[in-house]
Amino acid sequence: MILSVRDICKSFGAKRVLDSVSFEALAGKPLGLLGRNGAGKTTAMRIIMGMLSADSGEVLFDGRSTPCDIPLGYLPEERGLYRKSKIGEQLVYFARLRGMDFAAAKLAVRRKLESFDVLQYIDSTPETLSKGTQQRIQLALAMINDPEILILDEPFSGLDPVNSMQLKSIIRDYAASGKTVIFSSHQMSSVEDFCTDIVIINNGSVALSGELSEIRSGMQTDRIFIETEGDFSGIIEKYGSASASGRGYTVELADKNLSGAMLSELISLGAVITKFETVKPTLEEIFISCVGEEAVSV
Amino acid sequence: MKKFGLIFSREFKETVRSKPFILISVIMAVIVLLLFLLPVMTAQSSDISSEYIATENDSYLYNCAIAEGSSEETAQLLGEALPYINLSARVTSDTSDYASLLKKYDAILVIRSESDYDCYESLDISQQSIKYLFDDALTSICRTRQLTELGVSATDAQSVLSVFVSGSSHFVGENAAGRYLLNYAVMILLFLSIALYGQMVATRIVSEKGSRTMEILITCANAQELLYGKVLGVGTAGLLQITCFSCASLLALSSASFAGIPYLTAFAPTDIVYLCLYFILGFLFMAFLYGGIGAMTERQEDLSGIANLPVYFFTAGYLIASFTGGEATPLLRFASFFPFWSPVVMFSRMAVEDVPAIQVIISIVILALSCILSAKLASKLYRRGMFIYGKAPVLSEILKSLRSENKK
Repeated sequence: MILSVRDICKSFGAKRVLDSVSFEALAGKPLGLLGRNGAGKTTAMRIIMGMLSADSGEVLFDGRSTPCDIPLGYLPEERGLYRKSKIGEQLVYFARLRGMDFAAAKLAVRRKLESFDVLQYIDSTPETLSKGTQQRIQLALAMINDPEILILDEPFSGLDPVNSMQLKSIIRDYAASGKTVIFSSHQMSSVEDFCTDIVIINNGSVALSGELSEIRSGMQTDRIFIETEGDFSGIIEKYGSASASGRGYTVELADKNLSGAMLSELISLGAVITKFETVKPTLEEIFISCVGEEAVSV
Repeated sequence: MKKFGLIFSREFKETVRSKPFILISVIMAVIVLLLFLLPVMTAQSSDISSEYIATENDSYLYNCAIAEGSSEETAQLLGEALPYINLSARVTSDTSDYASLLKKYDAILVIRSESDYDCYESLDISQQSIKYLFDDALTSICRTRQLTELGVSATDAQSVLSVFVSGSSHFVGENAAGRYLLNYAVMILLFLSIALYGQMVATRIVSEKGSRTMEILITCANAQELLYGKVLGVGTAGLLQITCFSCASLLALSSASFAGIPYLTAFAPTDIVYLCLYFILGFLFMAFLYGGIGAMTERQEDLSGIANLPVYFFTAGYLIASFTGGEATPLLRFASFFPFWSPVVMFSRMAVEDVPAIQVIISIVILALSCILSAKLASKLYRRGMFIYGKAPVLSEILKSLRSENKK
């Protein structure tokens, strides 16, 4: 399924939260929705799910504008389960609210909890469970009706590395099965891990969007990685700050045009260069370059 | 509609299954039954002779003693008149020993003559006084003696004195006392129920918002389905509880002519209809308002702050209704039409004057229209409020939010 967001605008009072936001999420290609706190990510997700109406613009699902018959799954940033109700009962309730009949909902809940390895908690209440277990159950709920579009808001926040890895694996498999996954997170490494496409929203507008690999390739950096036989660090450091990285050096060039000059000098000195490449920017660097240096703290 | 049904059903079940609901229902029903039935049961237990005849033939119901020095003749006559009381024991005339003796005997009699005696009984409040039995018996003995002295044979005298007339009570016309009491009882019941269940709706919404369950719910159902399902689910549970209380009361009231006042006759079938309508509409009006207000905050402690306004309004109505001074003042009449107050004030007004049916109907229609407005307002507040997190908005912000909603 192709989810198309076209020229969405949304204001709350005098404050413009989204300003002509457009992007596309494709089946099997997880989309990372990035932005600083208050950039408009959650509002965009709520508009996609029909929880909020846009002031203008449209959201299309395979070219159609009615999301009612399209199963959506949503994992909110802060977990949403009744604290004192039994897991099984409330999951059946939510599944039925999503259109399943009682028998199908009951079966789906058992299967989903089993596949998330939390079936043993079916008669427990959320308040008695650990955060990691609650998160698995919450994700099971988001995927209870095998939604065509799965929207995840900060799914890994507060999880330990083991839980985080297990959930990543589940989501990755789900996306690989041809579903559309939209993923919002401040954890750039998580987004980098399995998002094919990204959209960076800054102050309510799309600052950057596209395939992550293309964006990284297309972005010029002043950084190169050089691997030589022998120690030429003295020469390399003439062209910028160098730091040892594996068997070579990562060099922040004082000027990106200096790379040719450095290469020429090293060759003229008889250096055997085994690797010389431009270092692609990390997602964090791309993000910071888009939203400004002040976003480092994000 | 299916989603509304699911939400309604869940809210109803959650409310009914909650421990406070079950406890309050059971305890209140038992209290109501006891309050109404206890005096009736006590009165029945005092009907000694019938109980004796039905259950006792060879043993005595009471065990009493005669003080030494008493008139033996009178004691004998008394024993014949009261065959269910054992008067064979004789005890000292020193009254200082009576406190300990009364642990063994139900009463001790010091009989000076047929018309002059003292009855000593224990101060134990669980023990019912039986002095009136001796009064009745000695009165009969004295009258028989006087009639005999006047030439009437002892048999005829007994026959005359045994005549007893017992007519049936029939109450007609306005039962003012019963109606007054019942109307006030209904007014208090309505006030407490509407305030309690209205608050319950707000608390549920705040709880869902605070736990972020609302974020999930809103992806499954729209704001109207969520709000209406919740309000009606909790309201139906409240109605069920009120029905339990009412049934317990009706059962108790219908079981006996309690205190000589036929309370049930004070309440006409139309009053029951009014009671149901005022509860349902009054609850809906307040619950929708509470629902909208509840959606504006995510913390229970903030709720008490912003939910005070409707509470103040509603309580003002209760105060107007409570202090009528026994007459229908212009303020009371006006308040009986005002939506915030009419559910409780109308029953208070009915207690002090005859309210024409048309006025009650107009009051109900105004309340019903207000419910529609309240539901619309609450839907707007709910839609706007469910994504508002952090500090609870002040009234001006809520109004501003509503104005911007209206422009769209």
